[in-house]
Amino acid sequence: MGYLFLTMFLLIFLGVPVAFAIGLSSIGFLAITNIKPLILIAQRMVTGLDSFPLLAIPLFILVGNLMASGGISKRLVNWAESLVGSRSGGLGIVAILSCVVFAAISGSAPATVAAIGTIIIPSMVQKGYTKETAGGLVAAAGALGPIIPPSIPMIIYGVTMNISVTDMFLGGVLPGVFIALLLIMVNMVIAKRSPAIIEHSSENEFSWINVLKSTWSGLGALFLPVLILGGIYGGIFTPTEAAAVGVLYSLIVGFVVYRELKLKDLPTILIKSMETSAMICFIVAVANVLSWLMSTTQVSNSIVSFLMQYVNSPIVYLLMLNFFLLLVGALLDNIAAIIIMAPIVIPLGLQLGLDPLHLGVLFVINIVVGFVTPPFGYNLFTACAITGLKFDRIVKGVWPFLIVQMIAVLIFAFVPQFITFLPNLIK
Amino acid sequence: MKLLQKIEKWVDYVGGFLIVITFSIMIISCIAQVYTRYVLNNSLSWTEELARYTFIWANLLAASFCVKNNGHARVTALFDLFPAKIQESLDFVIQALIIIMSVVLVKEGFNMVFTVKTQLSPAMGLNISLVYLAIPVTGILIILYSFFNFIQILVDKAVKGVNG
Repeated sequence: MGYLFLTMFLLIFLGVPVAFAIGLSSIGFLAITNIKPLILIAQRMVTGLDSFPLLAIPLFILVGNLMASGGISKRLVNWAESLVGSRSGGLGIVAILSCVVFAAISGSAPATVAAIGTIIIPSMVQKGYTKETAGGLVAAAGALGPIIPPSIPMIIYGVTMNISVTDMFLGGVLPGVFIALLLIMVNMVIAKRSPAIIEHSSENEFSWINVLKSTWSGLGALFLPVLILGGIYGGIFTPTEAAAVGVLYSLIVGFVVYRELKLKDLPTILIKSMETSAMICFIVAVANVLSWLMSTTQVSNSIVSFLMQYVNSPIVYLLMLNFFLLLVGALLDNIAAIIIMAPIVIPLGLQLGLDPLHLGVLFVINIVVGFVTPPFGYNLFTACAITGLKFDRIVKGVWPFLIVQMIAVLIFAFVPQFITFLPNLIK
Repeated sequence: MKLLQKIEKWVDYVGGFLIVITFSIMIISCIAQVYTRYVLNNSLSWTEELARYTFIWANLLAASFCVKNNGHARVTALFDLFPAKIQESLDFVIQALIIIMSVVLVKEGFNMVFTVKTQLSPAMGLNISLVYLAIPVTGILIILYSFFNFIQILVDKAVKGVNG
């Protein structure tokens, strides 16, 4: 089994697509050990995908894409700008606020960075922000995408570890809002210290008419999170059904209300969305073979008892978990990280008496913050692509935001109420 | 070369068409499920099953499109550090590995299809082998696209050789 992991990580780091690295090493293991015929591959791949909560993944991706093609991102940014854009450093807040709302529609971090970043970064630079700060801020705020529900990593975690996806979604709300507030504070400190930003601050005037106008024009976008999240928490829909209703809603908004969506674009949007989904779900399918092998060979049990000798208090465990997951999140693809690592590192925490929901949401937040962590954080690359800046310049801009995110993660680790308060309240 | 491009276009078209159809059926079944439960107060038993099966088909088919567009998640941090020559040969090896795994998928996929050919699904009474058929079909598509990628790498190399 050790060799299996060794081959797998070797293949992954040589640049073999993650799904194929997992598949090939599992096939190799089966072929050599003969514990089960190879037909297991076909059987487990279908079993791995045969789960209703997973259906929410392509549906939420489709909602995000329909909204983006329907001109929603621009309206969101306009709305946020009319609210807070007139303050000094206001555009930073606009960027964060837009990311929060977009996060409540889409569940992916890089998608959030791309959708909001392409619109907001140029205007931030006009208003005196350096490109580094603008790119770093959006890269960090994009991490809110999978923390504020709906969230694709949370769906994957819920399905892998058998935890209610609805509970996980609820658990992400307070941490998401808390991180957003911290990011806004950092932005204000930077704005106060920069003469260029202060100089440009008085150009926009706040007006209630503007707020009303942009709220009206953005209503189509702003109502969607209410519909999706309200439906889930009101106990009306499962997350998958809410996503399907969201698809219907965004079709109506795109075709009838905003009229920016065209029928002939629809097949392309469907195929593109399913491709993004397949990137995730193919890993889920193949990893089901690996999970089967892991549970049959009882490898996670031996890892737990091995670690037990060294890690015997919840505090040590949580510290090590945070550190380890930041590393994993920065190195590995996030979906693979959840499916491979969660069954290995989480059981120990459960044995130490920690709450499964707390650990689950913490796990996802850690992985997502890993997205913003140099040298391999995915959000940073997306921000590079948008701003045209070199990687090290983006890193320079992101660190103040990254540090507060890491502090937030530590707080969530040791104050579980941040995560468990809302889910317990609803029960 | 022309013929190959024609074949690739045709495969694209059929694959894309199947993805659109299965994805649409999946969306409609999910919406139908909500509608029948909350509006008609009478939930259908087969919508969930149909949605799950079309979900499997659509995702596996689209996985082959990811091979075509190099869309599968990769960790390229180390890969990018290698000199261009080594990257080229690694690309070859990677395509070969993808083909090896796909051959297993085709073989074992068909194996599975025949093993379950008498089983019916609980709600719709659909033959289960239809669901498992997605595995070998995807395998074949991935092999085709990987093969096209191979040719593309070779052509690029030849062009580069001519130009400099």
